[in-house]
Amino acid sequence: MKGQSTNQPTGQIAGDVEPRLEAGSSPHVFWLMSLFGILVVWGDSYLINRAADFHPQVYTPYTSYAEVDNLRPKSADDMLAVKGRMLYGTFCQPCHQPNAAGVPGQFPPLAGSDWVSTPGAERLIRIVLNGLAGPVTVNGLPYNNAMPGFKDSVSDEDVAAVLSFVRGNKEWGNTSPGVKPEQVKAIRALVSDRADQWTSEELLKLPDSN
Amino acid sequence: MTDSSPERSECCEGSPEGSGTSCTTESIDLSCRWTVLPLLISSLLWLLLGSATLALSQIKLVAPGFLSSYEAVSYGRLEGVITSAFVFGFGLPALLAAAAWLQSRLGRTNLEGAIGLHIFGFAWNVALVAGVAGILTGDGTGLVGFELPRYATTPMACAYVVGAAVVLLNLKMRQHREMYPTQWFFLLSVLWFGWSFTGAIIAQSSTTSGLLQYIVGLWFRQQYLWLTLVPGYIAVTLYLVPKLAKVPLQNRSLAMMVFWSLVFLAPFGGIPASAPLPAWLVGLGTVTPALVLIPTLGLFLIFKNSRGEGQCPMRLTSEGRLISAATVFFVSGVLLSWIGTVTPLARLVDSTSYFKGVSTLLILGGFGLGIIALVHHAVPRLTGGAWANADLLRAQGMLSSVTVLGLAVALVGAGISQGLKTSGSSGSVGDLIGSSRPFFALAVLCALGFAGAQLMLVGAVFVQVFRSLNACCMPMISLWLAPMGSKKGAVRS
Amino acid sequence: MKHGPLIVVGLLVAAASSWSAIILGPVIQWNDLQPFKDETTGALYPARRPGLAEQGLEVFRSQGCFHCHSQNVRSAGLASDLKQGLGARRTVALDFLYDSVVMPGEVRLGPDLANFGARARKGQGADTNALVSSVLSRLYNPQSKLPGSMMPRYPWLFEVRPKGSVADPLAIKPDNGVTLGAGEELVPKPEAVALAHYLLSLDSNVSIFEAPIPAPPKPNGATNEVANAGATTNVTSKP
Repeated sequence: MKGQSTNQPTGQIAGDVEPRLEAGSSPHVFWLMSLFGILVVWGDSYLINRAADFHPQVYTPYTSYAEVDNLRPKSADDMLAVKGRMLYGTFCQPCHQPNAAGVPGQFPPLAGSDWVSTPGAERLIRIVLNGLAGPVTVNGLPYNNAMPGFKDSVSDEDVAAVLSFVRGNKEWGNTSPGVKPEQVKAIRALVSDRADQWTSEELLKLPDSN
Repeated sequence: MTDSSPERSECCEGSPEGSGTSCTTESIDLSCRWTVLPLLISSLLWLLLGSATLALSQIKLVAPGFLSSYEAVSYGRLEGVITSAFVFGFGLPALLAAAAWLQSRLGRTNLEGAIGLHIFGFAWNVALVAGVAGILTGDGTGLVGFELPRYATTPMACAYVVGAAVVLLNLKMRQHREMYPTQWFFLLSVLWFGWSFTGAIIAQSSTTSGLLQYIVGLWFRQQYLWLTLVPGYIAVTLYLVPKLAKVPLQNRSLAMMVFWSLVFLAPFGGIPASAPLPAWLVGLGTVTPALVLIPTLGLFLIFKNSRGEGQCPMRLTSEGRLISAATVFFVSGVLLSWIGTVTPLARLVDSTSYFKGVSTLLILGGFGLGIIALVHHAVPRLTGGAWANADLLRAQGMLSSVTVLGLAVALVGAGISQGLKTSGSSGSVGDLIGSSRPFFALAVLCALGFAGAQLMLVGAVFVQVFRSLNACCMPMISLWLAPMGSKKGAVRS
Repeated sequence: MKHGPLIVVGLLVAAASSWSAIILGPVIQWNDLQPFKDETTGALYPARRPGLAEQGLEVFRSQGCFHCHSQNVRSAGLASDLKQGLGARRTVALDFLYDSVVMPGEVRLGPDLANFGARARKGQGADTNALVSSVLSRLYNPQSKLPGSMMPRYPWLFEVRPKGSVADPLAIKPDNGVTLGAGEELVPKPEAVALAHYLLSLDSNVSIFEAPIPAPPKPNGATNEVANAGATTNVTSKP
């Protein structure tokens, strides 16, 4: 079925010989096998160190079940602090920033803040419940903004948790004692009919030891 | 068969293994012609469609307003179509076509059971079109790289079994028991895809847990890339390089090493470092890219040693250049995929376009250019005549290689720039957009160029097919058309 | 290598071992994966998504949103996601326990969505119309929120409808050449509303066993409790 005219394809391509295989061994194999051995040893040690005995509940960066278990909150205080950290992330972080340094000129810092490290927490509880508007001086620097109140969004336990977290977070240099839900409940009852945000002057009239 | 001697035609009809003289190359090519050619053409058309879709999707990244009121061409849906076109539309039919032809050539037997490949080609493509239409209308599975809906993949799997059976049957009927390495790698690809495809579909159907389906998707993607397309590329390389260089393949032990190390090391990867999966799975996914450097290095050594000492350099033929480019791209892709898992760089390029660039290098660069090289080599032999325009082929090969390189550079570059902008503690999406835009623009150009190159190739193949049809059929047709008893009818014979 | 069947056996061993390791292994390990129970409140995590949000998950899959948006907060060792505030902890498999399609995503061309709901709601419990509207308007015109954004518009998720006596609370202001007749409004289709509810349900900021949020270190010597015992009753008069 091949064409006869000279303008048509004329048949088999010349010199079409199938490739042959060279038998025997190659020196490269030895080097590749050595590299293979090294990589297998490396891979093995990697898996031994990082695969946490194939446990389904261990995720990176942890390397053993015991490590993860250790980090489980064990006491009620630990659980409260964890809750506080997450509440901070939800409500406070957008303005006061993940590292609690605030934004210069806009949002005051909470890390190492003189307002946060007062002996008592009454002012802070009021700020969280109703918010703070107008000029305020924090660590000697002026800020003038409006912080919303959260009294309709969070419970007493939540306020206690987030304030305990903020006041006691050593990462931020805060070492003040925490807040109990009963304190929050009492203050909430006291200011229940107040709808406006606080001003700095009003709060500074309160003693800071409570 | 009018021009074969009687002894040869007897032995060519289903000869048992190891008996008698081999069939001639002409008869083998002739037996493959109308099965392998349509499959290759359909796979090239899917490659064309896939690259055009890739260009469109990258245009949408640069100019989101382009065609933005049409649901079917939104970016999210086009992405599913692109991988389906490249892997299932181009990859698998090309793999089976290459396997059928090379197996017949190397086994020195005519292709038997061709009807099976016709059934495969038809059913597979019909189901794939339905699947792609499904993705465009919103039926994608949500698994990256495996988005075809089940109503498409199930008939595709059945069609595949038929096609694979033909290839394996022909392998069994080979003249010499000792298999050439190309045949090992095709055996691997054809079998492994059958197992993993049906396994993945069954696993998908037997569980409603999204988590397990996610893992099945990751696993299947690794299998079709590393244990189907990559062995297909290796098979083509191990055939073309020694054949073009006219030296024996160097050598058997190295080839065995590449084969078995690929088989036992590559299937365990595919889990990205950032996947929300336990540490042990992520660990496997980090160790495997390093281990597959072994078969890659082995392949590169075989390539380097089998190129001959200059009598027949690769650059003389367009397929030689293409297969060399394919090898360079493949090795670079494997290196980049390993580097992207090493911790300092992993922090930079995880969750960016970097790994898309890596899979471009492997699928389009390695396997794609390998198949294009095989098309350059096979079509003249299958159609019984040399290419009409060898310069066109050379240009097509050059354009394909350059555009694939450009695509890879664009995507890897986009990934690195995205990583640089977002891996700090203030990851701004706005910065990311600005820094990646020039890379996406480059990707548009290269995707369009690659599509154009495939259009050239499809055109050239059609011209070649028509010329061979002309040669074989025109005299017969003229004879039928000539009036009975006329001078013309008497003269033509 | 002459013996085809022997090679096939070798291939089968390799395939079976990878199947066992990567698919069977997790199947067995996660056979009875249970939600995490918070010991103080008794709440289970994750909770099943409410019906509309579950439908929204299917819309998210169908539109291919996961090709640009990941839902995966990565661990501190790999990325700075936690520092960027994308979530309180890394994402783990448990977060997708009840999802029929799991789409953690592999490319982040747009922001990560793992805690989109948490960020959008800021503690509000219910999905108010205002919240849903804000999400829908970003779907309709993403460039309004971030000019130059690569995110495409989704006009096919909205439709023009005759207005009733009361305007639809979720109606959107049209643009981009869409003009409304006298008694018409542009409203989201059910898929869009479902998608908005799904996005607002994305909140994984719960400390669980696999990804604990460690309690902060205690100050020297003090406990996290209030130091002065009498403070609970020491409330001053109203200012």
